[in-house]
Order: sequence, then C-alpha cells, then structure tokens
Amino acid sequence: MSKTLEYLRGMEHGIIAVSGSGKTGKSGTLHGLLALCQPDRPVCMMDPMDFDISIFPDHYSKVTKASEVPVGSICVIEDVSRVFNARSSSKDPTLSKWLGIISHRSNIVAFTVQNFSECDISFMRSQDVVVAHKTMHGADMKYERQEHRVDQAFANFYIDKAQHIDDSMDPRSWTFFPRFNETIGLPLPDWWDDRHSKIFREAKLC
Amino acid sequence: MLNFTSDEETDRLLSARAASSVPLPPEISFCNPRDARILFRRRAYYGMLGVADHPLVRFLEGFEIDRSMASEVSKARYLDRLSHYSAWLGRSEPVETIAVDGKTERRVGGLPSSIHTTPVPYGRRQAASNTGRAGVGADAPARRPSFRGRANGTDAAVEDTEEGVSETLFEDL
Repeated sequence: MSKTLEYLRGMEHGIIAVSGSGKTGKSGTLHGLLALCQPDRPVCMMDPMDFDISIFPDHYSKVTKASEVPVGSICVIEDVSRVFNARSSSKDPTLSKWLGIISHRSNIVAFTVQNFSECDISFMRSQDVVVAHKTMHGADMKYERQEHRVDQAFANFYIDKAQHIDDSMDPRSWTFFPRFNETIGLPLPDWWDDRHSKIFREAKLC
Repeated sequence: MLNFTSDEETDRLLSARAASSVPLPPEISFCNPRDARILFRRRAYYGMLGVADHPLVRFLEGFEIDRSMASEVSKARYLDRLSHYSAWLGRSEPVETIAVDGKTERRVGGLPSSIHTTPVPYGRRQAASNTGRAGVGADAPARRPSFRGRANGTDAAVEDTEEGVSETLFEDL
C-alpha cells in the first residue's frame, strides 16, 4: 500500500535523510524505518564520540570513519552535522570520495539532521535520496535551505492534519515523505527505549 | 501571527498549516490571498442581499473557486506542487496518510471512495524493479533482534527468538 515503504524495502544503496526540529522523533523514526524495511541488513553507527553500542541489537556495530563501513551495510549517522558539517566537502574530499562509491559497496547512508542548512549538500546530489520530514518549528524554518523549505512547510501541514485525524498514533510517529507524497505513522522498533534517544548523555565532547 | 518566512510561497503554505486549526476549506487556504479576499467580499455582498444560498450564487462561487485554484496551478513553481494542486482539482487526496503498526498498514482520512479500508497484512513482497538487495534474501522472515548481554536495562540476556511473517501474500491494490 505505501509506495515509500515499498521503495525503501527494495533500496540497495542511497541516502535516507530525516530532518526536523529537536525531539520530534527523528532517531526513533529512522531506526523504526530500518527495522521495518531493512531488518536483515547489518547496521553500523558512525560517530567520533563514544557511546554504548550494547543497548542496540546485535546486528548494530560502531565505526568512527567512512573507510570502516562494511560492504552491504547501512551506515547510520545521528545528527550528520557533527560528523560532516556543511561545506566539509570543500575542505576534505573524504565525503565526496565515500559518496562516490556507496553504490558500488551497496551501502545505504541514513542520517538525522535538524536543518538541511547544517548538512553538506553533497549528500543530496547525485544519489538516490529519500527525504523524511518531521515537524520543524517556525524559527528553524527561517534558516532551512530554500529547496527544502516548501516540502517542510507541507510536512508541518500534513503531520498536523494526521495528528488530528488519528489520535491513536503517537503524535511523533508521523513523517512526511515528499518524494512519494505520503504521510506515514511509523512505529518505534520493539527494542527502543529512552536510552536510545539520548545515547550521548554521558559522552564527552571531542 | 508573526511571519518567520522570507518568501511569499512558503508564507502561504505556512498559513495553510495554521488554517488547519480554523474552519477554512482547504481551497481557500491554498488560494491566492487576493482571490480569497474578493471571494469573501462577494459572499458577504450576496449575503447582505439575502441570496447567499441561491443555487446560482453557489454555482458561481464554486466556479470562482475553481478558477482561482486553476490560476494557482498555472503559477506553481515546482512540478510536484503542480501535481498537488491538480490532485485538489481532481477532488482526490494529494497526499496519502498511512498508519503502520509493524504488522499492517491502513489508510487514514481521505475520501471514502478512494480508501482501501481492509488492513493490509505484511507478507512476502516483491522487490521494486531495478533495485537489488545486497546479501539479503527477499524471502527472509522477520527476526526479533538479539542483544549483547543486557537488554532493556536488565542483566538477563534476551533469547534470540524468530518470528515468522504472515504467509498471506500482499495483493496489489
């Protein structure tokens, strides 16, 4: 029934980007999508900061840089602006080189970001991109990239509408996919709890 | 209402969001504000004359709404927004709203004639064309993940159990 979920189930390589203001359910939605659509693929979480990987399922692993991402796996980046900030590709060619080969290595790069203006534009170019919008506050909208602002405005409208239509779903479960024109209420993974949304609570900045 | 946007189109779309909380029909929300103003004034004028509910007046009003929405379609900057407005003109939902609980999908809201209300169970689905699955069998059953050591805050290890998916084949609608 859902064109979005059908497409994501068959996705071999590409980008999945989840954007929205803080505490709108981006991480839960991202991991929920992967658990629903790609349950059997290994997942590696890329981050230079230390966090407890044992709270995630066994098929999750931790890496610190792009060269460590295994073939065929899904690379999850929580808040991509901390790992690859905007314009990082102009100073360091690593990102461009990596994105140039993710199709060869059958990798999906899935990340969350609060605002696409903080995200390097290389992610959105020349890749098979599926964007998922959560709610974005009006003040954050002011700084959003022009090319995403209209879709984000639609997302706010349709998520608000969905929350009123169906109050049986958690309000933060709704996500708008502009590419497929669908607003979907997604469940959290079975293993999800509050620890997974605050994995850097005890981390030290590096 | 404070305006946080810098361009007219986004401002209009944000107004549409705000309008979801007031009883404005969506065609008015998406109209050019100038057209909406004329429409409301005309409606007030006919109301003053006591003919607001006359069939001819209502017919002309509907005609006016269609005209102004068609005008917006022709000015749409993005092809996907064009399809959105065209969907409005076709009286169908431009955006599907789907609730997923992990086992089934169901459509919520929308027009009754276009809804498939029977929950669709998950089953074996065909992969989309021109895409492959790296190292994954298309028929592999869903597997509850296992955890290293502690799980859910307890010290007990969780047994790795497998849950099979429904054998019901997904039927294309």
